[in-house]
Amino acid sequence: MMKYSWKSKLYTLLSCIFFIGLWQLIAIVINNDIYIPRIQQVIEAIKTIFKEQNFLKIILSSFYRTILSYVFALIFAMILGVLATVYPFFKYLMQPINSFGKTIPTMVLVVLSLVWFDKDKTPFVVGFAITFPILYEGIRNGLMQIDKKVIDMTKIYEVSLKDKIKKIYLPVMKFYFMSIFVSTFSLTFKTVIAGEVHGQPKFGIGSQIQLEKVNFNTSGIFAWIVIIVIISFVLEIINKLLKEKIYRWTK
Amino acid sequence: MNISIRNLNKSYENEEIFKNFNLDFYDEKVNCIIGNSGCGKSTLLNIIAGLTEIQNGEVSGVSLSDISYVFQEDRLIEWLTVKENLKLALKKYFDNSILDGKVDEILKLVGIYDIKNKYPSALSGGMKQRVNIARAFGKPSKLILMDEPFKSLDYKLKYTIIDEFKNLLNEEKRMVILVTHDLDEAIYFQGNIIVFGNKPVQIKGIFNKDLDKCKNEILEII
Repeated sequence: MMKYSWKSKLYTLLSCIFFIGLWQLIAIVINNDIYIPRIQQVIEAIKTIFKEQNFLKIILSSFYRTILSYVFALIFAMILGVLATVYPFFKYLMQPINSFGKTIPTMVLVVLSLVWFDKDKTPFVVGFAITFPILYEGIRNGLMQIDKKVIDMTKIYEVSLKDKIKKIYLPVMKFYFMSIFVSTFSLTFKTVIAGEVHGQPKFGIGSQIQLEKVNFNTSGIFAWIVIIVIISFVLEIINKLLKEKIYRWTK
Repeated sequence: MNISIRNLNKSYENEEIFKNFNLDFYDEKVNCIIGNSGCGKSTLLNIIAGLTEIQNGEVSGVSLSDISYVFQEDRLIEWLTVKENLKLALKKYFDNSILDGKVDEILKLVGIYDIKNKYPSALSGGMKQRVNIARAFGKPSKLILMDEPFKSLDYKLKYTIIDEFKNLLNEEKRMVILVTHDLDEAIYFQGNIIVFGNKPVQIKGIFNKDLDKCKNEILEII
Protein backbone atom coordinates (compact mmCIF):
# COMPACT_ATOMS: atom_id res chain seq x y z
CA MET A 1 0.00 0.00 0.00
CA MET A 2 2.77 2.38 1.06
CA LYS A 3 4.77 1.48 -2.04
CA TYR A 4 1.73 2.13 -4.23
CA SER A 5 1.12 5.50 -2.58
CA TRP A 6 4.71 6.64 -3.22
CA LYS A 7 4.52 5.42 -6.80
CA SER A 8 1.27 7.32 -7.33
CA LYS A 9 2.80 10.50 -5.86
CA LEU A 10 5.84 10.13 -8.11
CA TYR A 11 3.64 9.74 -11.21
CA THR A 12 1.60 12.83 -10.21
CA LEU A 13 4.83 14.79 -9.75
CA LEU A 14 6.12 13.64 -13.15
CA SER A 15 2.80 14.66 -14.72
CA CYS A 16 3.08 18.14 -13.15
CA ILE A 17 6.65 18.49 -14.44
CA PHE A 18 5.49 17.42 -17.90
CA PHE A 19 2.72 20.06 -18.06
CA ILE A 20 4.95 22.81 -16.64
CA GLY A 21 7.54 21.88 -19.30
CA LEU A 22 4.83 21.95 -21.98
CA TRP A 23 3.69 25.38 -20.78
CA GLN A 24 7.26 26.73 -20.95
CA LEU A 25 7.77 25.21 -24.40
CA ILE A 26 4.56 26.77 -25.77
CA ALA A 27 5.48 30.11 -24.17
CA ILE A 28 8.92 30.00 -25.87
CA VAL A 29 7.39 29.06 -29.23
CA ILE A 30 4.67 31.74 -29.11
CA ASN A 31 7.10 34.26 -27.63
CA ASN A 32 4.38 36.71 -26.64
CA ASP A 33 3.79 37.17 -22.89
CA ILE A 34 0.33 38.70 -23.49
CA TYR A 35 -0.85 35.27 -24.69
CA ILE A 36 1.27 32.97 -22.56
CA PRO A 37 3.98 34.24 -20.23
CA ARG A 38 7.09 32.20 -19.43
CA ILE A 39 7.54 30.59 -16.03
CA GLN A 40 10.21 33.13 -15.01
CA GLN A 41 7.83 35.99 -15.80
CA VAL A 42 5.08 34.42 -13.68
CA ILE A 43 7.52 33.92 -10.79
CA GLU A 44 8.53 37.59 -11.08
CA ALA A 45 4.83 38.57 -11.09
CA ILE A 46 4.23 36.45 -7.96
CA LYS A 47 7.16 38.21 -6.25
CA THR A 48 5.67 41.59 -7.19
CA ILE A 49 2.24 40.59 -5.85
CA PHE A 50 3.80 39.34 -2.59
CA LYS A 51 5.62 42.64 -2.15
CA GLU A 52 2.43 44.66 -2.67
CA GLN A 53 1.35 46.54 0.42
CA ASN A 54 -2.24 45.28 0.24
CA PHE A 55 -1.43 41.67 -0.67
CA LEU A 56 -2.74 40.16 2.57
CA LYS A 57 -5.75 42.47 2.57
CA ILE A 58 -6.65 41.33 -0.98
CA ILE A 59 -6.36 37.63 -0.13
CA LEU A 60 -8.18 37.99 3.18
CA SER A 61 -11.00 40.03 1.60
CA SER A 62 -11.69 37.28 -0.94
CA PHE A 63 -11.37 34.69 1.77
CA TYR A 64 -13.66 36.59 4.09
CA ARG A 65 -16.37 36.77 1.38
CA THR A 66 -15.92 33.08 0.59
CA ILE A 67 -16.11 31.98 4.23
CA LEU A 68 -19.10 34.23 4.87
CA SER A 69 -21.08 32.98 1.87
CA TYR A 70 -20.06 29.37 2.57
CA VAL A 71 -21.01 29.51 6.25
CA PHE A 72 -24.35 31.16 5.46
CA ALA A 73 -25.07 28.59 2.72
CA LEU A 74 -24.09 25.74 5.06
CA ILE A 75 -26.24 26.96 7.96
CA PHE A 76 -29.27 27.45 5.70
CA ALA A 77 -28.68 24.10 3.99
CA MET A 78 -28.42 22.30 7.34
CA ILE A 79 -31.54 23.88 8.84
CA LEU A 80 -33.64 23.43 5.70
CA GLY A 81 -32.18 19.97 5.06
CA VAL A 82 -33.31 18.75 8.50
CA LEU A 83 -36.70 20.49 8.19
CA ALA A 84 -37.27 18.96 4.75
CA THR A 85 -36.40 15.51 6.12
CA VAL A 86 -38.65 15.77 9.16
CA TYR A 87 -41.53 17.80 7.62
CA PRO A 88 -42.41 17.10 3.93
CA PHE A 89 -43.86 20.63 3.64
CA PHE A 90 -40.34 22.08 3.55
CA LYS A 91 -39.23 19.50 0.98
CA TYR A 92 -41.90 20.69 -1.47
CA LEU A 93 -41.32 24.35 -0.57
CA MET A 94 -37.63 24.07 -1.38
CA GLN A 95 -38.02 22.06 -4.59
CA PRO A 96 -38.62 25.00 -7.03
CA ILE A 97 -36.10 27.28 -5.28
CA ASN A 98 -33.49 24.59 -5.44
CA SER A 99 -34.14 23.75 -9.10
CA PHE A 100 -33.98 27.45 -9.95
CA GLY A 101 -30.75 27.92 -7.99
CA LYS A 102 -29.10 24.96 -9.73
CA THR A 103 -30.00 25.97 -13.27
CA ILE A 104 -29.49 29.74 -13.24
CA PRO A 105 -26.16 30.67 -14.90
CA THR A 106 -23.56 32.28 -12.64
CA MET A 107 -23.26 35.34 -14.87
CA VAL A 108 -27.01 36.03 -14.62
CA LEU A 109 -26.67 35.94 -10.85
CA VAL A 110 -23.70 38.35 -11.02
CA VAL A 111 -25.63 40.80 -13.19
CA LEU A 112 -28.77 40.62 -11.03
CA SER A 113 -26.72 41.00 -7.84
CA LEU A 114 -25.08 44.12 -9.30
CA VAL A 115 -28.56 45.51 -10.02
CA TRP A 116 -30.00 44.64 -6.59
CA PHE A 117 -26.99 45.02 -4.30
CA ASP A 118 -23.83 47.10 -4.26
CA LYS A 119 -20.57 45.89 -5.79
CA ASP A 120 -19.09 44.85 -2.43
CA LYS A 121 -21.99 42.52 -1.68
CA THR A 122 -22.18 40.93 -5.15
CA PRO A 123 -19.41 38.32 -4.67
CA PHE A 124 -20.97 37.22 -1.37
CA VAL A 125 -24.49 36.96 -2.81
CA VAL A 126 -23.28 35.01 -5.85
CA GLY A 127 -21.14 32.70 -3.70
CA PHE A 128 -24.12 31.95 -1.48
CA ALA A 129 -26.56 31.44 -4.36
CA ILE A 130 -24.28 28.97 -6.13
CA THR A 131 -23.19 27.04 -3.04
CA PHE A 132 -26.51 26.73 -1.19
CA PRO A 133 -28.37 24.40 -3.63
CA ILE A 134 -25.39 22.03 -3.81
CA LEU A 135 -25.01 21.83 -0.03
CA TYR A 136 -28.78 21.60 0.54
CA GLU A 137 -29.24 18.75 -1.91
CA GLY A 138 -26.21 16.88 -0.63
CA ILE A 139 -27.29 17.22 2.99
CA ARG A 140 -30.83 16.12 2.08
CA ASN A 141 -29.51 13.07 0.24
CA GLY A 142 -27.23 12.25 3.16
CA LEU A 143 -30.12 12.45 5.60
CA MET A 144 -32.38 10.41 3.32
CA GLN A 145 -29.77 7.65 3.34
CA ILE A 146 -30.00 7.22 7.10
CA ASP A 147 -31.11 3.65 7.61
CA LYS A 148 -34.88 3.52 8.24
CA LYS A 149 -34.18 0.69 10.64
CA VAL A 150 -32.13 3.01 12.86
CA ILE A 151 -35.01 5.51 12.80
CA ASP A 152 -37.38 2.67 13.83
CA MET A 153 -35.01 1.91 16.71
CA THR A 154 -35.25 5.57 17.86
CA LYS A 155 -39.08 5.26 17.77
CA ILE A 156 -39.04 2.18 20.01
CA TYR A 157 -36.69 3.84 22.50
CA GLU A 158 -38.58 7.16 22.23
CA VAL A 159 -35.48 9.20 21.37
CA SER A 160 -36.39 12.90 21.33
CA LEU A 161 -36.19 14.95 18.13
CA LYS A 162 -33.46 17.05 19.76
CA ASP A 163 -31.33 13.98 20.42
CA LYS A 164 -32.05 12.58 16.97
CA ILE A 165 -30.79 15.82 15.42
CA LYS A 166 -27.77 15.98 17.73
CA LYS A 167 -26.69 12.34 17.63
CA ILE A 168 -27.85 11.18 14.18
CA TYR A 169 -28.71 13.98 11.75
CA LEU A 170 -25.85 16.35 12.63
CA PRO A 171 -23.13 13.64 12.50
CA VAL A 172 -24.47 12.43 9.13
CA MET A 173 -24.31 16.01 7.85
CA LYS A 174 -20.82 16.37 9.28
CA PHE A 175 -19.59 13.25 7.46
CA TYR A 176 -21.17 14.38 4.23
CA PHE A 177 -19.75 17.88 4.70
CA MET A 178 -16.24 16.53 5.19
CA SER A 179 -16.44 14.57 1.95
CA ILE A 180 -17.38 17.61 -0.12
CA PHE A 181 -15.77 20.45 1.85
CA VAL A 182 -12.80 21.06 -0.44
CA SER A 183 -14.72 20.80 -3.70
CA THR A 184 -17.61 23.02 -2.58
CA PHE A 185 -15.41 25.54 -0.77
CA SER A 186 -13.20 25.79 -3.88
CA LEU A 187 -16.34 26.31 -5.97
CA THR A 188 -17.50 29.11 -3.64
CA PHE A 189 -13.99 30.62 -3.76
CA LYS A 190 -14.01 30.55 -7.58
CA THR A 191 -17.55 31.98 -7.73
CA VAL A 192 -16.68 34.76 -5.30
CA ILE A 193 -13.63 35.62 -7.43
CA ALA A 194 -15.87 35.66 -10.54
CA GLY A 195 -18.22 37.99 -8.68
CA GLU A 196 -15.26 40.20 -7.76
CA VAL A 197 -14.10 40.34 -11.39
CA HIS A 198 -17.43 41.88 -12.35
CA GLY A 199 -18.36 43.64 -9.13
CA GLN A 200 -14.91 45.19 -8.67
CA PRO A 201 -14.89 45.65 -4.91
CA LYS A 202 -11.89 47.67 -3.63
CA PHE A 203 -10.01 44.61 -2.36
CA GLY A 204 -10.32 41.12 -3.80
CA ILE A 205 -8.45 38.61 -5.96
CA GLY A 206 -11.08 39.02 -8.73
CA SER A 207 -10.63 42.81 -8.76
CA GLN A 208 -6.85 42.30 -9.11
CA ILE A 209 -7.28 39.82 -11.97
CA GLN A 210 -9.53 42.32 -13.76
CA LEU A 211 -6.91 45.03 -13.19
CA GLU A 212 -4.16 42.80 -14.64
CA LYS A 213 -6.41 42.06 -17.63
CA VAL A 214 -7.01 45.78 -18.29
CA ASN A 215 -3.23 46.29 -18.18
CA PHE A 216 -2.62 43.30 -20.51
CA ASN A 217 -0.49 41.79 -17.76
CA THR A 218 -1.12 38.06 -18.39
CA SER A 219 1.83 37.15 -16.14
CA GLY A 220 -0.09 38.83 -13.29
CA ILE A 221 -3.20 36.77 -14.09
CA PHE A 222 -1.13 33.56 -14.14
CA ALA A 223 0.50 34.60 -10.87
CA TRP A 224 -2.91 34.95 -9.22
CA ILE A 225 -3.90 31.52 -10.59
CA VAL A 226 -0.80 30.03 -8.94
CA ILE A 227 -1.72 31.73 -5.65
CA ILE A 228 -5.29 30.35 -5.88
CA VAL A 229 -3.90 26.85 -6.53
CA ILE A 230 -1.64 27.14 -3.47
CA ILE A 231 -4.62 28.23 -1.34
CA SER A 232 -6.69 25.25 -2.61
CA PHE A 233 -3.79 22.92 -1.81
CA VAL A 234 -3.62 24.24 1.77
CA LEU A 235 -7.39 23.71 2.09
CA GLU A 236 -7.02 20.12 0.99
CA ILE A 237 -4.38 19.47 3.65
CA ILE A 238 -6.65 21.00 6.33
CA ASN A 239 -9.53 18.85 5.10
CA LYS A 240 -7.40 15.71 5.29
CA LEU A 241 -6.42 16.47 8.89
CA LEU A 242 -10.04 17.14 9.88
CA LYS A 243 -11.22 13.94 8.20
CA GLU A 244 -8.74 11.86 10.20
CA LYS A 245 -10.14 13.36 13.40
CA ILE A 246 -13.82 13.00 12.48
CA TYR A 247 -13.70 9.46 11.10
CA ARG A 248 -11.88 8.04 14.14
CA TRP A 249 -14.84 5.67 14.80
CA THR A 250 -14.11 3.72 11.63
CA LYS A 251 -10.72 2.61 12.93
CA MET B 1 -49.68 -8.21 31.02
CA ASN B 2 -52.27 -9.30 28.47
CA ILE B 3 -51.87 -8.45 24.81
CA SER B 4 -54.87 -8.97 22.61
CA ILE B 5 -54.90 -8.87 18.82
CA ARG B 6 -58.39 -8.73 17.33
CA ASN B 7 -59.63 -8.86 13.73
CA LEU B 8 -56.26 -7.82 12.35
CA ASN B 9 -56.15 -7.10 8.63
CA LYS B 10 -52.94 -6.22 6.87
CA SER B 11 -51.97 -6.48 3.25
CA TYR B 12 -49.08 -5.30 1.08
CA GLU B 13 -50.29 -4.30 -2.38
CA ASN B 14 -52.31 -7.38 -3.47
CA GLU B 15 -50.96 -9.78 -0.90
CA GLU B 16 -52.98 -10.39 2.25
CA ILE B 17 -50.75 -11.06 5.25
CA PHE B 18 -53.37 -11.08 8.00
CA LYS B 19 -57.09 -11.57 7.48
CA ASN B 20 -59.34 -11.28 10.57
CA PHE B 21 -56.45 -12.56 12.64
CA ASN B 22 -56.82 -13.04 16.40
CA LEU B 23 -54.19 -13.91 19.00
CA ASP B 24 -53.63 -13.37 22.72
CA PHE B 25 -50.41 -13.26 24.72
CA TYR B 26 -50.90 -13.45 28.45
CA ASP B 27 -47.94 -15.24 30.01
CA GLU B 28 -44.76 -13.69 31.36
CA LYS B 29 -43.01 -16.32 29.31
CA VAL B 30 -41.10 -16.54 26.08
CA ASN B 31 -43.69 -16.81 23.32
CA CYS B 32 -41.94 -18.17 20.26
CA ILE B 33 -43.61 -17.62 16.93
CA ILE B 34 -42.38 -20.14 14.43
CA GLY B 35 -43.17 -20.51 10.76
CA ASN B 36 -41.71 -20.47 7.28
CA SER B 37 -39.69 -17.50 6.00
CA GLY B 38 -41.85 -14.61 4.86
CA CYS B 39 -45.04 -15.89 6.47
CA GLY B 40 -45.69 -12.65 8.40
CA LYS B 41 -43.93 -13.31 11.73
CA SER B 42 -41.79 -10.15 11.66
CA THR B 43 -44.74 -8.11 10.36
CA LEU B 44 -46.71 -9.10 13.46
CA LEU B 45 -43.89 -7.89 15.73
CA ASN B 46 -43.72 -4.59 13.85
CA ILE B 47 -47.50 -4.21 14.15
CA ILE B 48 -47.36 -4.80 17.91
CA ALA B 49 -44.50 -2.27 18.13
CA GLY B 50 -46.45 0.29 16.10
CA LEU B 51 -43.80 0.38 13.38
CA THR B 52 -46.15 -0.99 10.73
CA GLU B 53 -49.58 0.43 10.11
CA ILE B 54 -52.59 -1.85 9.84
CA GLN B 55 -55.67 -1.57 7.65
CA ASN B 56 -58.14 -2.82 10.25
CA GLY B 57 -58.20 -4.39 13.66
CA GLU B 58 -56.91 -3.70 17.11
CA VAL B 59 -53.87 -4.42 19.23
CA SER B 60 -54.66 -3.72 22.86
CA GLY B 61 -52.92 -4.09 26.20
CA VAL B 62 -49.60 -2.62 25.14
CA SER B 63 -48.21 0.84 24.43
CA LEU B 64 -44.88 2.07 23.07
CA SER B 65 -43.49 2.76 26.53
CA ASP B 66 -44.03 -0.95 27.43
CA ILE B 67 -41.96 -2.25 24.53
CA SER B 68 -38.30 -3.09 24.01
CA TYR B 69 -37.16 -4.57 20.74
CA VAL B 70 -34.18 -6.82 20.02
CA PHE B 71 -33.82 -6.46 16.29
CA GLN B 72 -32.38 -8.98 13.85
CA GLU B 73 -29.57 -6.52 13.06
CA ASP B 74 -27.85 -4.65 15.86
CA ARG B 75 -29.18 -1.20 14.75
CA LEU B 76 -26.36 0.51 16.61
CA ILE B 77 -25.18 3.95 15.58
CA GLU B 78 -21.73 3.51 14.10
CA TRP B 79 -20.23 6.78 15.32
CA LEU B 80 -21.32 6.34 18.94
CA THR B 81 -19.55 4.09 21.41
CA VAL B 82 -21.41 1.19 23.03
CA LYS B 83 -22.10 3.31 26.11
CA GLU B 84 -23.19 6.32 24.06
CA ASN B 85 -25.55 4.09 22.06
CA LEU B 86 -27.17 2.84 25.25
CA LYS B 87 -27.35 6.29 26.78
CA LEU B 88 -29.13 7.61 23.71
CA ALA B 89 -31.70 4.79 23.83
CA LEU B 90 -32.28 4.93 27.59
CA LYS B 91 -32.17 8.70 28.16
CA LYS B 92 -35.96 9.01 28.25
CA TYR B 93 -36.37 6.46 31.04
CA PHE B 94 -33.81 7.61 33.58
CA ASP B 95 -32.96 10.94 35.13
CA ASN B 96 -29.74 12.46 33.80
CA SER B 97 -28.09 12.20 37.21
CA ILE B 98 -28.50 8.40 37.33
CA LEU B 99 -28.37 7.57 33.59
CA ASP B 100 -24.61 7.00 33.55
CA GLY B 101 -24.76 4.62 36.51
CA LYS B 102 -27.78 2.77 35.11
CA VAL B 103 -26.06 2.21 31.77
CA ASP B 104 -22.94 0.91 33.55
CA GLU B 105 -25.15 -1.38 35.62
CA ILE B 106 -26.85 -2.95 32.58
CA LEU B 107 -23.50 -3.25 30.76
CA LYS B 108 -22.14 -5.20 33.74
CA LEU B 109 -25.30 -7.32 33.92
CA VAL B 110 -24.94 -8.36 30.29
CA GLY B 111 -21.18 -8.79 30.71
CA ILE B 112 -20.07 -6.18 28.21
CA TYR B 113 -18.81 -3.46 30.55
CA ASP B 114 -15.26 -3.87 29.22
CA ILE B 115 -16.28 -2.85 25.72
CA LYS B 116 -18.29 0.22 26.71
CA ASN B 117 -15.90 2.63 25.01
CA LYS B 118 -15.61 0.68 21.77
CA TYR B 119 -17.32 1.63 18.54
CA PRO B 120 -19.66 -0.94 16.91
CA SER B 121 -17.25 -1.42 14.00
CA ALA B 122 -14.76 -2.90 16.45
CA LEU B 123 -17.23 -5.49 17.80
CA SER B 124 -17.97 -9.04 16.69
CA GLY B 125 -21.51 -10.09 15.70
CA GLY B 126 -22.04 -11.73 19.09
CA MET B 127 -20.92 -8.64 20.99
CA LYS B 128 -23.18 -6.40 18.92
CA GLN B 129 -26.14 -8.63 19.71
CA ARG B 130 -25.28 -8.50 23.42
CA VAL B 131 -25.40 -4.69 23.18
CA ASN B 132 -28.76 -5.04 21.40
CA ILE B 133 -30.02 -7.20 24.30
CA ALA B 134 -28.56 -4.78 26.89
CA ARG B 135 -30.45 -1.93 25.24
CA ALA B 136 -33.70 -3.91 25.39
CA PHE B 137 -33.21 -4.84 29.05
CA GLY B 138 -32.11 -1.32 29.92
CA LYS B 139 -35.52 0.06 29.02
CA PRO B 140 -37.93 -0.58 31.90
CA SER B 141 -40.38 -2.29 29.58
CA LYS B 142 -42.93 -5.04 30.19
CA LEU B 143 -42.56 -6.68 26.80
CA ILE B 144 -39.48 -7.59 24.77
CA LEU B 145 -40.01 -8.23 21.07
CA MET B 146 -37.27 -10.25 19.40
CA ASP B 147 -36.99 -10.69 15.66
CA GLU B 148 -34.65 -13.60 14.94
CA PRO B 149 -31.89 -11.98 17.00
CA PHE B 150 -29.67 -15.06 16.98
CA LYS B 151 -29.95 -15.78 13.27
CA SER B 152 -26.49 -14.63 12.23
CA LEU B 153 -24.63 -16.24 15.14
CA ASP B 154 -22.81 -19.56 15.01
CA TYR B 155 -24.31 -22.51 16.88
CA LYS B 156 -22.18 -22.35 20.05
CA LEU B 157 -22.34 -18.58 20.43
CA LYS B 158 -26.08 -18.65 19.80
CA TYR B 159 -26.80 -20.94 22.76
CA THR B 160 -24.33 -19.08 25.00
CA ILE B 161 -26.19 -15.83 24.35
CA ILE B 162 -29.59 -17.53 24.73
CA ASP B 163 -28.47 -18.85 28.15
CA GLU B 164 -27.33 -15.36 29.14
CA PHE B 165 -30.65 -13.98 27.97
CA LYS B 166 -32.61 -16.60 29.95
CA ASN B 167 -30.61 -15.73 33.07
CA LEU B 168 -31.45 -12.05 32.61
CA LEU B 169 -35.08 -12.97 32.16
CA ASN B 170 -35.04 -14.98 35.41
CA GLU B 171 -33.79 -11.90 37.24
CA GLU B 172 -36.25 -9.51 35.63
CA LYS B 173 -39.51 -11.12 34.55
CA ARG B 174 -40.88 -9.76 31.29
CA MET B 175 -43.08 -11.05 28.54
CA VAL B 176 -41.11 -11.98 25.42
CA ILE B 177 -42.42 -12.50 21.91
CA LEU B 178 -39.68 -14.10 19.86
CA VAL B 179 -39.84 -14.75 16.15
CA THR B 180 -37.71 -17.56 14.81
CA HIS B 181 -37.64 -20.18 12.11
CA ASP B 182 -35.43 -22.49 14.16
CA LEU B 183 -37.57 -25.01 16.05
CA ASP B 184 -34.69 -26.20 18.27
CA GLU B 185 -34.14 -22.62 19.39
CA ALA B 186 -37.86 -22.21 20.15
CA ILE B 187 -37.93 -25.47 22.17
CA TYR B 188 -34.80 -24.44 24.09
CA PHE B 189 -36.64 -21.44 25.54
CA GLN B 190 -39.27 -23.80 27.06
CA GLY B 191 -42.04 -21.24 26.73
CA ASN B 192 -45.01 -21.20 24.40
CA ILE B 193 -44.61 -22.11 20.75
CA ILE B 194 -47.09 -20.63 18.29
CA VAL B 195 -46.93 -22.12 14.81
CA PHE B 196 -47.87 -19.84 11.92
CA GLY B 197 -49.14 -21.17 8.60
CA ASN B 198 -48.73 -19.47 5.26
CA LYS B 199 -50.41 -16.22 4.17
CA PRO B 200 -52.95 -15.04 5.10
CA VAL B 201 -51.58 -16.15 8.45
CA GLN B 202 -53.43 -18.87 10.34
CA ILE B 203 -52.39 -20.31 13.65
CA LYS B 204 -51.69 -23.98 13.07
CA GLY B 205 -51.03 -24.82 16.68
CA ILE B 206 -50.02 -23.55 20.10
CA PHE B 207 -47.75 -25.74 22.24
CA ASN B 208 -46.81 -25.07 25.85
CA LYS B 209 -46.13 -28.46 27.46
CA ASP B 210 -43.62 -31.24 26.84
CA LEU B 211 -42.13 -29.30 23.99
CA ASP B 212 -39.34 -31.79 23.33
CA LYS B 213 -41.93 -34.50 22.72
CA CYS B 214 -43.96 -32.24 20.43
CA LYS B 215 -41.06 -31.61 18.03
CA ASN B 216 -42.21 -34.06 15.36
CA GLU B 217 -45.81 -32.88 15.61
CA ILE B 218 -44.69 -29.26 15.13
CA LEU B 219 -42.45 -30.19 12.21
CA GLU B 220 -45.40 -31.87 10.53
CA ILE B 221 -47.65 -28.80 10.67
CA ILE B 222 -45.09 -26.12 9.77
